[in-house]
Amino acid sequence: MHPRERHDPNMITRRKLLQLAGAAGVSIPSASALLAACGKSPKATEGQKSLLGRPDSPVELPIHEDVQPIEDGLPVEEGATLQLFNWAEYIAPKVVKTFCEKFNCDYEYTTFNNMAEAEQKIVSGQVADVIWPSAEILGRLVQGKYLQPLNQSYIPNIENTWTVFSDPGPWYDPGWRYTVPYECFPTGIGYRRDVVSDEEAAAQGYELLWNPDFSGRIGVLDVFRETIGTALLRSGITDVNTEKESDIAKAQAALEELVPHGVRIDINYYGNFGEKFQVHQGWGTDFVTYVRFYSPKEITPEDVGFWFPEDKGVAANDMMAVAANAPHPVLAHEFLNYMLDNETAYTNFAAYGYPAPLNSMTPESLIDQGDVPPHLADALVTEERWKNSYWIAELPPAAEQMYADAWQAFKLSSG
Amino acid sequence: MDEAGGVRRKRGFGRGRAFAGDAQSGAWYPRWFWPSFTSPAIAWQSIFFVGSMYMILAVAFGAVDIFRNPVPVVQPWYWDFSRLTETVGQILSSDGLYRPIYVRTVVYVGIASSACLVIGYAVAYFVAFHAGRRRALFVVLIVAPIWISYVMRMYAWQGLLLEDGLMNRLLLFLPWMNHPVNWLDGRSVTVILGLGYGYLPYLILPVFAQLSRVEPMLLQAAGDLGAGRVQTFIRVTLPQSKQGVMAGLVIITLPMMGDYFTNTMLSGSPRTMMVGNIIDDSVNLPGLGATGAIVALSLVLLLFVPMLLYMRATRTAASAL
Repeated sequence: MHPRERHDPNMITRRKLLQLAGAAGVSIPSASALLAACGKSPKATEGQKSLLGRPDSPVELPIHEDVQPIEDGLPVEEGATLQLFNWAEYIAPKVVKTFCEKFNCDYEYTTFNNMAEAEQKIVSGQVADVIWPSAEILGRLVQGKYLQPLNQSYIPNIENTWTVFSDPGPWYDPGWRYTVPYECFPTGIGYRRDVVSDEEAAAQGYELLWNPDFSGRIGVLDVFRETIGTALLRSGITDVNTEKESDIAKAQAALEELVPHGVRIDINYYGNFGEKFQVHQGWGTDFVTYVRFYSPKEITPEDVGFWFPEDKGVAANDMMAVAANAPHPVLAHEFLNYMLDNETAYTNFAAYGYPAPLNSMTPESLIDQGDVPPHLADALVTEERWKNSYWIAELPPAAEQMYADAWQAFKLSSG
Repeated sequence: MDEAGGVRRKRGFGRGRAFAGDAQSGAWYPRWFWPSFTSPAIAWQSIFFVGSMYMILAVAFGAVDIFRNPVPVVQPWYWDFSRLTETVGQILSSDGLYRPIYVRTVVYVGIASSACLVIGYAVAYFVAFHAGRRRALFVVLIVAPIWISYVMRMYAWQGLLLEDGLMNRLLLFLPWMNHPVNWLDGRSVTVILGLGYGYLPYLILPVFAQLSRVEPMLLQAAGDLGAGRVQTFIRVTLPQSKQGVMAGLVIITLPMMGDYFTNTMLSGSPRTMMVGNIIDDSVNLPGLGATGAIVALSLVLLLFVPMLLYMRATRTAASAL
């Protein structure tokens, strides 16, 4: 999961349009949302073996005979319209426009609100050149032949990224056959420093969320794998991809403890964290974004802190891939290469606050440049931390179902 | 019978042919001519209502793909009813997960609708009978909030209800208010307030339209016959506005029952989840699409009762005219 897994209320997607129509008064309340789930049958069917890689046991993604990488040295498609399929507000328009000027093309930006929606659209035949998937669905997309293998000769800027992304390649895609990295983010707990000190936050750790002193001002991410992962870690279970029913039940019980404390399940906290919450589980980069762009004048950057376990916590990165049905695959490769350019990546960061895993964009450099307050250093990911993190990874269907059921039980519990 | 038949013929139905509508033109049309005017609506409803309803059934009893997303199965002979039993059990059994949510939703909608009725009726009454030349202005003011996106209005309410928001600043003027209220910490009252605010204009308009049609002479006659203001209202105005009230209640109650967004924006707490949130969550969680579809169908059944009551009341009122 990642920082853009949120509902963007200003973006009208097919699903949102139908949902809003329902809210506005169609005669079958909320049923409209379900219709968005109806699409073409997937290429792959249930029962196929999943590609369940893990950081300590990477699985090489297969290259299918009928989905091969493009040839070397092909000319870039001229006058094309580059199709981008991404989270809302997850790339600076200026960056895309500059690319289009350079390659004499136009672009269309289609969005999704969460990975489930992205999957549905891709399966339903969404036409795209570049897709932004997450690790927990990457294997399924490759298995279903929805992505094409990269021709790495078009992407020399991979050298700008942390070494791990090219040699040997990230654990979710050894040899970077299908993906290049986009942004990195840690999962921890943001807090109001004027309410709780850094030392106190470090001492409490995950218990910050379960501290009744913050009742009515506690928030958790509306992302089931991430939040159950936090509850697992709080319960002392370090396998955030556990398939044990008893572990998941423990996490569910831990989450249900939060209900009497008035916990709110929220995804837009990056826009109003300080005003509504005192502690909020979330992505570190969201708190950086909050202090950079959204906090009111009464709340200074000094008032916002972020706790991440000193030893090991959950971190991840997004990635970019080329769709199997990409109308302009060469242009798509050029785009991936362009996004890994140091200057481009910094322009992109400056526009909305999520740093790319490039050697030129270390937490130290961002702090030195004044882009990130020093006390929020833990809200960023270093290469070392990336290597030493727990990862929310793909699960077999039955296990994923247990997580989904536990999550719904928590959300519907009355405390 | 003969007279009734005569009336029917005068209105244009006789021996397989239809009259154009008045005696002046003298034109005759085939029997299907006037009914054919409904064909666009029938086509529209067939595609977007019947078709979509069927797709919900196909999701409810369909399959899932490797992503655990629902795959609608349109052939009924392949339908799988396993989720139906499970979901109905969660709704009906005393310890069912969904049961408290249904009860809560009915309570929220009941209170919010009642509040809308009391507030909305008073507003509609004022505009219909006492707004004078400013009546059009008031109607515009009633409709104005609908011009703004519901999403934006809920964001505005978030700002108003913050601890240092306008609502608390006003409340703190009250002598017994010592500290601000955290309206956004998952309170039922906040969600009900949001529902009431969001749907109020949709109730005012039909009630106002109905009240505008009340014949002033009837009110005058009631007064002449000795009825006081209250008695005139109860015995003349209220019965005359019954259809508008029923229409307004149906218009607001149905979407309120399926509303999930108000709760998401103004609370987000598990303690205030509504049936619409079950559907929204189910759609966004892997493997639960069928559950969401079944819950949506249960709402249709639940709302069928007030719809029938409304239709019956409408028919009774129409036949009384």
